[in-house]
Amino acid sequence: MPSWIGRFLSSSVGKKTVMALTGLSLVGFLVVHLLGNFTLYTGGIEGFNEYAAKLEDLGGLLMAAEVGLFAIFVIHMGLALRIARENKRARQENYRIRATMGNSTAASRSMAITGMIVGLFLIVHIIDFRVPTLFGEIDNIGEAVVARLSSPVGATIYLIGILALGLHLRHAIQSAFQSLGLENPNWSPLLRLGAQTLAWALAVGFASFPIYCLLTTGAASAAAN
Amino acid sequence: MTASATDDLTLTVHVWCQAGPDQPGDFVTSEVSVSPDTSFLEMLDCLNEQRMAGGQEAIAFDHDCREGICGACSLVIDGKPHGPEQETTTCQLHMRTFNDGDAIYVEPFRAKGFPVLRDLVVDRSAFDRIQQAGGYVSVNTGSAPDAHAVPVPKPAAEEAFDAAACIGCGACVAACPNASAMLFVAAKVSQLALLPQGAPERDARALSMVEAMDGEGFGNCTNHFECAAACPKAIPVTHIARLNREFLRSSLMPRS
Ligand code: HEM
Ligand code: SF4
Ligand code: FES
Repeated sequence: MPSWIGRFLSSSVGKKTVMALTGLSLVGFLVVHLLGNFTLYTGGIEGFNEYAAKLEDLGGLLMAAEVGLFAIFVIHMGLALRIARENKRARQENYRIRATMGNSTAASRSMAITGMIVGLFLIVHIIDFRVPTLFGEIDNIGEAVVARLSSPVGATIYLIGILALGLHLRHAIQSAFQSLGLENPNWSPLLRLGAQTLAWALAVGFASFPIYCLLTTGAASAAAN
Repeated sequence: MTASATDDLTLTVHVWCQAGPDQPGDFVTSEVSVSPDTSFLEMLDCLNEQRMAGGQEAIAFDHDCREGICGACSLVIDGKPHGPEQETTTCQLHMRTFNDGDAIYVEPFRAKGFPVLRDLVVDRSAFDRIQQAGGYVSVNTGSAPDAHAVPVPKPAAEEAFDAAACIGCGACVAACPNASAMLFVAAKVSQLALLPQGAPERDARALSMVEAMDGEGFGNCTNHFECAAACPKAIPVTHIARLNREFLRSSLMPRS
């Protein structure tokens, strides 16, 4: 490996570049994931199952994509933990009186925590759906999803995970642009607006599923009574 | 008699005292009465006179120019580097910013890269070492060239000048939740990257100044932007984006 790569990756700016690129790749995945989930609204459980079947049909390609995605997660999380540890060490003794200067946000200050919640949520999510489908334990994934999301416990877990994701993204997307040096008087206001909109759209979009499932099954059981 | 602006303020001042590096410290509380027209450092002078008159040692704090240009007056006042006033160094902060009866907490800058030497004095020489890693033009550029002999576009000149306003005070580090020195390094790298005199060493400068910064134990920037709000010279974070670009370009696509 050429020496510049090692130097680049161990530098603070290089680490932030990789954080930003992996983070934005994960955002790209989320966009595709959300669009796919919308088949539940457009085609009902059947439509959702058709979409899932098409994904399964990709076979090796799907596997390769999942392995890649997993690697990106591992790199992002690994670097996040390293950065968080180094940053803690950079201020060994804390201020006795703490005041913010007004530019940091609750979202920016809780990146490590929201990231960790997202990571834990991800494990739950994979155990819920990916592990069973991988071993052929679920025949009707659409029904399984709706059942999980319409149980109060399931819906709560998913809403907490999605709230953490929304907070994470609220800071993350525009932060990634800055880390990559994408700054320009003409474009920055638009980039910032686009970043905020995307963060909100992803959070609201994903949160709509547990809410929809809770409401529709609530209505269904009310109708049954 | 009605209160006038010149009535003295009586303040309860809690000042951080610590005997030496890595020693435990704590706030020492005193009452002081000063004119609202005194500067914050003059208030500390009064406090020290009072202490010495009572046979106590003076509290150590750093200062030099007392006119906002040297960057020595590194204090955190009520949790804010250089105190509550925007774009103002501690030495230029006046006591009229405070109200009679206020309690004020004074702490040193806290960062691994700025170890406390004593009381409120920190060692900011890490900034000198970062600067020595490439924050200059290494050939003698002679005396000032004739106007327009070296063409510099007006917007570049303006931006370089804004970056050059950095006094190396370290408030950006003090305010940053990660104790990152990115705003300082960005100001230094930006200033020279924007000007023709700085162009030949552009790549080496970005690489070695970032390396020196990391080596001093400052944190990684996570774009809170607290630095810009604390900066007495209002250096904007757009310079940090430029430093990121400079570093990326120098690492991935060096010009030489
Ligand atoms: C779907 C999941 C995730 C997405 C889309 C995502 C996205 C991002 C993005 C775009 C950034 C900004 C990078 C930058 O500023 O340069 C970021 C930062 C960060 N991420 Fe994630 N992330 C995810 C999951 C996680 C997880 C599981 C962790 C667990 C530890 C984590 C921890 C962090 C931390 C600590 C930062 C802070 C660095 C900063 O503020 O710049 N993230 N994330
Ligand atoms: S960037 Fe601002 S806060 Fe940081 S050292 Fe320079 S003048 Fe001080
Ligand atoms: S003492 Fe020089 S800037 Fe404050």
